[in-house]
Amino acid sequence: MLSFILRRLMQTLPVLFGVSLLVFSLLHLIPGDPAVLIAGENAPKEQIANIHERLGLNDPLPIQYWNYMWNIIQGDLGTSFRTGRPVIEEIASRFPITFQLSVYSTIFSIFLGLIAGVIAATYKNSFIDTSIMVIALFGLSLPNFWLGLMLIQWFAIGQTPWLPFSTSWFSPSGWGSFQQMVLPVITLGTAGAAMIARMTRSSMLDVLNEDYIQTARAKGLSERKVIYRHALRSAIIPVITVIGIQFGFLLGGSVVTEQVFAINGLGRLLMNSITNRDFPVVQGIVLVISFTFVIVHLIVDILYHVFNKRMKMNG
Amino acid sequence: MASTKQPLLSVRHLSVSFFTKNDEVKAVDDVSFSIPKGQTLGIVGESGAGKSMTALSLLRLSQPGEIVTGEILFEGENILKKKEREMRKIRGKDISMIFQDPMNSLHPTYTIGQQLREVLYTHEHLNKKQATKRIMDMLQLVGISAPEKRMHQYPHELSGGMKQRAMIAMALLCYPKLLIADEPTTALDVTIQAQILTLIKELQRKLAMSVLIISHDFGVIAEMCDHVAVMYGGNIVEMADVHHLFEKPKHPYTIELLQSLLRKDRHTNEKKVRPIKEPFLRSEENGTGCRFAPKCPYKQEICAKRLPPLIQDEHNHYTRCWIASDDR
Repeated sequence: MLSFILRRLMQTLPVLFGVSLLVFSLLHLIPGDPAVLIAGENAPKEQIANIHERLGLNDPLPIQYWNYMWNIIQGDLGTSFRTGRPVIEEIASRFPITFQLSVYSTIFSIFLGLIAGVIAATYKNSFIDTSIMVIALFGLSLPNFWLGLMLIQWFAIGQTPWLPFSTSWFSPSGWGSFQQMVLPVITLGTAGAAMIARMTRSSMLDVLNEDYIQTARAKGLSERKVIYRHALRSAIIPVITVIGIQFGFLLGGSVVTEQVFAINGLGRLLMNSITNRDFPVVQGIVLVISFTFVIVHLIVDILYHVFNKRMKMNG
Repeated sequence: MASTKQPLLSVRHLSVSFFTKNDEVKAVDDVSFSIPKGQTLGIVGESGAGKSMTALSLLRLSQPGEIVTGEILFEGENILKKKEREMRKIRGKDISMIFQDPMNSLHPTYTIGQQLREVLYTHEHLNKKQATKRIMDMLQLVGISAPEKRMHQYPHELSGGMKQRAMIAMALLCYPKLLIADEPTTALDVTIQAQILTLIKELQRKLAMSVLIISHDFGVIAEMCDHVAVMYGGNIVEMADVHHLFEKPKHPYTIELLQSLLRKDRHTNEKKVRPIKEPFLRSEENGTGCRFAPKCPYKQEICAKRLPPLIQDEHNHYTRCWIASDDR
C-alpha cells in the first residue's frame, strides 16, 4: 500500500516538471517582448531596458527557469501586471469560490447520476432505461454556455412562454446566496451527472451478472436490498474515477460558466487576465490548475486502489 | 416417518424456455421428479443439459424473460404460484442453495460475518448476540476453525475450500429443509472436494435435510445420492435408484457416459474422452424426436420422429428410450 502511494507520487513528478516547463515557456512563446507588454508600445527605450533588468530577461533561459522555479517553491508566483498585487493573493481570493462551485456541482452530479444510472440498470432495455440514457446523452452533448443561458432565461429572468406563471426563481449572476448558486451548479453538474449515470449503468450491469448477486437473491433478500446493498457497493468503484476526474476538471475553474453567471472565480480571473495580457496571473493560474488536477488524480488513484484491492484479490 | 406419502419436493412437468432472436429454446423440457424427506437426489448431465436451470427454477431465480411452466410442489404448495414476497421467505430459509464457484459467490467487500448475519436478519428475529452465537456455531459445524476470527475476514482472505464452507454455513443458517448444491465441488481442488462432500453428507444427517445435488461427475453422484436423474437436452432420460442406475443403466446415453468413465480406468494411460460436438440440439433441429437420437449408436427410425415417453419398470427405474425397454 505504502509502496503504491510512493510509486504513484514519483510518477507525478515528471508531470509536474513538464507542466512548470510549459508554463514558464508561455511568456517566451508568445510573440513580442514581455517588457513592451508591461510598459506599453510607446515606452522609452530606457524603461524597457530597465524592465528587462528587473525581470531578469537578459539572463540565459535555464537561469531564468531556475529562478522562476525557486520563486515558486517559496510561494512567489510573481506580480500581476495590472493590479501590482502578488499573483498568489489574486488566486487565493478567487479559489474558494471556484472550490465551492466545484464541490456543489460534483455533489449534484453524483446524486443525480447515481440514481439515474441505478434505475436505468435495474430496468435494463426498458422504456425507462432508454429514456434515461437518451436524456443523459443530451446532458453530455449540451454546451455549457447554452444550458447556462437557457437556465437564466427560463428560471432567472422568467421568460418561459410555455408556462403560465412567472419562473424568475433564481438569480442570474454572482455567487453566495442559494438563489445565486442553483443555476450555475446545475449548469456545471449536468454533464457530470450524465457521465456518472452512463458509467453507473454499465458498471451495474456488469455487477448484476456476478455470482454473488445470485447468492444475495438466493438468501431471500428483497430486490431493493440486492441492488443497493450488494450490486451498487461494487458497481460504484469504477464510478469513483469518473467522479474524481470530473471534480479535478471543475476545480480548474469553469471559464465559460463563470463568465455566463458572472461569478468571480478562478475561471473568470483567467479569462480577464488573458484579455488584459496579464501574463504572470495567467501563468500562475495555469500552474495552480495543473497542480490541483494532478493532486486530485493522485487522490482518486489511491482511493480506487484502496476500494479495488479486495475486489482484485478475490478474483 | 409420517411423511413418506408426500415427498418434500415434487416437481411435475417442469419446463423452462426462453426466446432467442428467432425461436424458442426449451432449456428444461417436461421434467418430473421428487425428493423425499432426508434423501438426496442427484442430477447428472453435461453442460447445457438444463441441470442448473432446473435448480434455479426451484428457487424461482430464473432470469426475466424465461417462461417456467409446470408445478413445483414444496411441502404440497406450488412454488410457481406464490407471490414474490412469499417466495423471498422461502429462499435461504426453507430452500437454500450453494453455487459452483465459491470464489465469486461471496460478496467481495463484506466480511463473512456480515454476509451470514444478513441471512439471519432477513429470516429470523434474533438480536445481535443470538445471531453471533448462531453464526459461530454454524461456522464451527462446517469445520471452519477460529470462527470469531473468520467472521471478521473478507472472502479474499479465505482459501477456496474455506469459502465453500462459509457458503455452506450461510446456506444452513436457518436450517433449511432442502439444500440445493449446484456443482458444489467443481471449482475446488480434488483433495478439498472429498472434504466438502463428506461435510454435506454429514450435515444432511445432522440436520435431517433433503439435498439436491447437481453434477456432471458420476463419482460425486455415486458417493452422495440415493436417487439419480440423468438429463440430456432438457429431458430426464433416465432416473433410478443409485445402485440400480450404476448396475443396470438402460439409456444409451447413460451407458455411454458410464463406459467412458470405465474405459479411462481400465486401459491404463489411454484416456478416451468423447467430445460431444454440440451440447444439445435446438428444438427446431431435432424436431419431435429423441434428443439423443443423432448421436445414439442404437438409433432406429422411430427415434428421430417421436420423443419416447419416460417409462417406469418394476424397480422404479425410469427410462426415456424406445429401445431400452426391450432387453438388449
